Amino acid sequence: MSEPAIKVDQLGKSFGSREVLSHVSLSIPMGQTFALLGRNGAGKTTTIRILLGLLTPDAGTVQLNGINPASDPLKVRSQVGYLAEDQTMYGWMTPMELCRFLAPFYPTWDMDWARANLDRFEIPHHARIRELSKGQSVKLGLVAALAHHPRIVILDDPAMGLDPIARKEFNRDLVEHLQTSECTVLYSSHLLDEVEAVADAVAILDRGRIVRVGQTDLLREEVKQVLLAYDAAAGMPRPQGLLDVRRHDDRLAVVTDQASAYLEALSAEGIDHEVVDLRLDEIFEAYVIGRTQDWPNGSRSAAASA
Amino acid sequence: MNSLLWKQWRESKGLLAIFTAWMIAAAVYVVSYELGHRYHAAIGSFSTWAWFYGIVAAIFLAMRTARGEEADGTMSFTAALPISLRRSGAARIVGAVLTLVIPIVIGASLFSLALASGLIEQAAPRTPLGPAYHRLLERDLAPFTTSLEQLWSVAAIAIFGGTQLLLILSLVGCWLRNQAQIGFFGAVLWLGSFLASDLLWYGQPSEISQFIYGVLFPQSLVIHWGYGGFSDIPGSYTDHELVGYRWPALGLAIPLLALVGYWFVRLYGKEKSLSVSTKPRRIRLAIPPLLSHVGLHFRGRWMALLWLELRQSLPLVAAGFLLTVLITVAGVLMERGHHHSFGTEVLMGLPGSVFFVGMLWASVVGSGLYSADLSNGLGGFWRSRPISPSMWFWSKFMIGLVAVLTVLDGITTLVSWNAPRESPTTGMSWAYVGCFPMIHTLMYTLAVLGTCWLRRPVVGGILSILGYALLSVAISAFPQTVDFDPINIYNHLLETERNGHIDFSQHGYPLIYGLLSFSIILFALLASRLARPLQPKYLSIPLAL
Amino acid sequence: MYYYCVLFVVADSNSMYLRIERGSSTPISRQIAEQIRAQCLSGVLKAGHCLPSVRQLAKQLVVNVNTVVRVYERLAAEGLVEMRHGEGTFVLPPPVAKEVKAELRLQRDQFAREYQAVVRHGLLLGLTVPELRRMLAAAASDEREQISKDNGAEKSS
Repeated sequence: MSEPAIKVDQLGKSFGSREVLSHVSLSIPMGQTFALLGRNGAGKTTTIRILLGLLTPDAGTVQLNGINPASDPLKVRSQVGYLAEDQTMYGWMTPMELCRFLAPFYPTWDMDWARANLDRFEIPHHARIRELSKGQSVKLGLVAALAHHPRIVILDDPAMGLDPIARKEFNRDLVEHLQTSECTVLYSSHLLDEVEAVADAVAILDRGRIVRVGQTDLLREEVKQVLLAYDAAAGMPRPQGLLDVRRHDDRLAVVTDQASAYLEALSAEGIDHEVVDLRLDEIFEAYVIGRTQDWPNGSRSAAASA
Repeated sequence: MNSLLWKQWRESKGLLAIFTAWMIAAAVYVVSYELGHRYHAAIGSFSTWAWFYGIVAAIFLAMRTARGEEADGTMSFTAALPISLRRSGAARIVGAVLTLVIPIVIGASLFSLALASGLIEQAAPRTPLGPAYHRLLERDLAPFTTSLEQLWSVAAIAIFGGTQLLLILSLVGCWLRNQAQIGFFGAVLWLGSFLASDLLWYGQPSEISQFIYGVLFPQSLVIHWGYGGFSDIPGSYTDHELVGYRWPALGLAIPLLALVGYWFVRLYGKEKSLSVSTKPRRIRLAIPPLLSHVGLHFRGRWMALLWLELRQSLPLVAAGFLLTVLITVAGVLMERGHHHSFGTEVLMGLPGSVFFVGMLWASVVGSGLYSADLSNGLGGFWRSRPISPSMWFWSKFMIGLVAVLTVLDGITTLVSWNAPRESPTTGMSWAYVGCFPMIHTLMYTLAVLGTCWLRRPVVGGILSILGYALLSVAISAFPQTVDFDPINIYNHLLETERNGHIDFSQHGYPLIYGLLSFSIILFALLASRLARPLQPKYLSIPLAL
Repeated sequence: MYYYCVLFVVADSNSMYLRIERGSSTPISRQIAEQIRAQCLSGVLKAGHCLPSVRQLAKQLVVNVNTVVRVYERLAAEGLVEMRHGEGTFVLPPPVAKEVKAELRLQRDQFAREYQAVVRHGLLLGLTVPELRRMLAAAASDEREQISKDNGAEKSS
């Protein structure tokens, strides 16, 4: 039980001269719901494809339930449920045909469960898949991914293209089925509000590198925005986890990680300051597009430049 | 509008270069062959090459014209520009026609140079009532101006024929869902054109009726007669015959073609589906999925794959067989003297149709079966399941091949075995059984290889046909090797069989067909390697093509 | 007195009203905890009421199951609810004076901070102190009426 369900160590991948992933490391314990956040092109889909053995990494190791997908891809895929963004399926098949086709490939396939959930999602059993609506086909993809009761579920931006109501239902199903059955769930998403509510931990992937990993609630404790006078800030050393600096006349708005250390230092010096709690999307923004150039120069800087 | 045309030019440059190179090569080849053999039949040869080129170019260009923007994803961009979509459609179709026409003109010009310089000469044109009706070799040489006119006639006919196919396919493409369907339709139309050509020439129709047919169907203004396999002369040559009122026919064909083009532009302008949706927007054969209600249970992975591949291949193969039967029936109907019952005549004629339709259709099935599963979308679907890629490849390969051979060759052999065997082109034979399943397998494998390599639906199939054609041409070019052409071997074997001997050790059969089997296995193994990764490492065809 | 959760799950579990604001600066766990706490202390959730199971609440609010677990655990630590293994989570009778005082003080401090912020906001908006006092008086009388009406309605049900 101590072995993490998904373990990624110093993963690297390049396409030609373009380095898409670099030194990516993740450790996802069993039963955790883990969200991979990142802009388009940050490398989320590439990471997921490597996890499934669809691509081979140039560097680093990957393990799912102790199995290496590069050497044993079929075994990994039989234990993992996968739903891709914009999943394409054979348009001429019907949902029942699809389930019947997939069943022999998974030793743990549960046909009754599949049928019951097709009904629950109101997916017609015998209509051609190309005639289903977008929401129905995503749900069908979910049924096909989960019918073999996998211990690990990987979802690549699954709610893309769904309308808000379908998205909420999708998240509800995620919570109801997956989190209650001790599944390990890895999913990538842009919808930070929903991620925050549902994920145990998040990782922020930016340009192929993991810039932050942590539990969702702790992240909000550790990353804060501090408002203080410009001159007061100039007199203090630069905080270790500085992410973003904005100057407003004579005030400075500083977003920093490990905020508690900085706040203690400020209180010790008796500097007047205001602490603002940040939403997850603001934290994400700070990590990905934060600028620190406006930090006052000539300060007793202790950290190297960002 | 100018900038639209310029954009069209930029997009078509690569294709135009390739097509021009092809026609230049064809012209050079034809002239060289003529220099070598001096049959004075170079124009006929050029005409067949131009015709073949016209078909392939038309299919290719139609795919890009009707569905190119959708495939490239630029549809919504173009639709949002402040130019009417009609104009964009007009620019596209004009660009496509030019891309098809210019190479033929260049090739014909080269040929004209050869004629003008006296390098080669052409025999007198074949007329139904003139002297020496059948033997080209016994005809006088034609004067320069006549030959020039003949050359430009066949060039113009190829141009019009290709353009007509291009326009019709582009128009139909507005109603089809994707590029692969357009290619499929193109193959069907091509076979249909064989039919139509035969129809229009048979029974010595009057000049007026030929004229009318010519307006509707320019390609029928010329007919080719292939002569080869003579014991006294090596190689082969192509004679051609032109309709009398061909130029007026072509002239009248222009407004008809313009009408089709205009219709396309109007339809294109109404292009509402701005996204590559998976939903069909129009008339589709809405066959309800009845089989889904049959509660099959697969006892293992191979059974599931068997079902999948049968479901995908059987409809395709059945369509090919149907087409073959139609062609045979049409051929029988056009026959003037009927010595047997209708059914018997059909059975007699079936092998003749199946052998060459089978070659085309084996390619169609091979590329069709593989192209969908190799696309990014479906590829991601089955590759993310515990389906081993080699299991997927080989089950698809074997089942598709068995389907093609069983339905096309197997059924034909079965039903036609006892039909009278009167001439080289009617009735079954052991030679057929020994040769054509192998040739069909070769075409199928080449198409699979092409599709696994290039990951594009129609290009892979076209590559296989082209590959075989080039191989055939190369072998037949030299008198020493001409007997090694697989179809020539079949002809020899058939001849001896009709004379009473059945001997497969003769005529180079073991060597050539052994080589064939070996290559088939090699190609299949290569294809399976190429099909392994999700995205090929060496993506060779740029998107513009 | 305590009720078996399983008998009343249909009736009781639907009667807790919670609203969470996604994307707010306040963490979701804190929002849930505060609302449940307020409902317990104000008597909307009566003693012995069975709270929805962790899974049910997570599903209803579409939040992580662990988040709900943490909220329930926190409330249990504060003495507001009791988690009975196998039966459910039940609201406890209002805690004894000492705990009430501590908890109440915390709540009142929080309230004082919020009150200060509101007053500051009002001053920045240009309201004068007499205007603020008038608004306070009016609001107080309105709300007091409303609360007594609510209490009266509850007492009769």
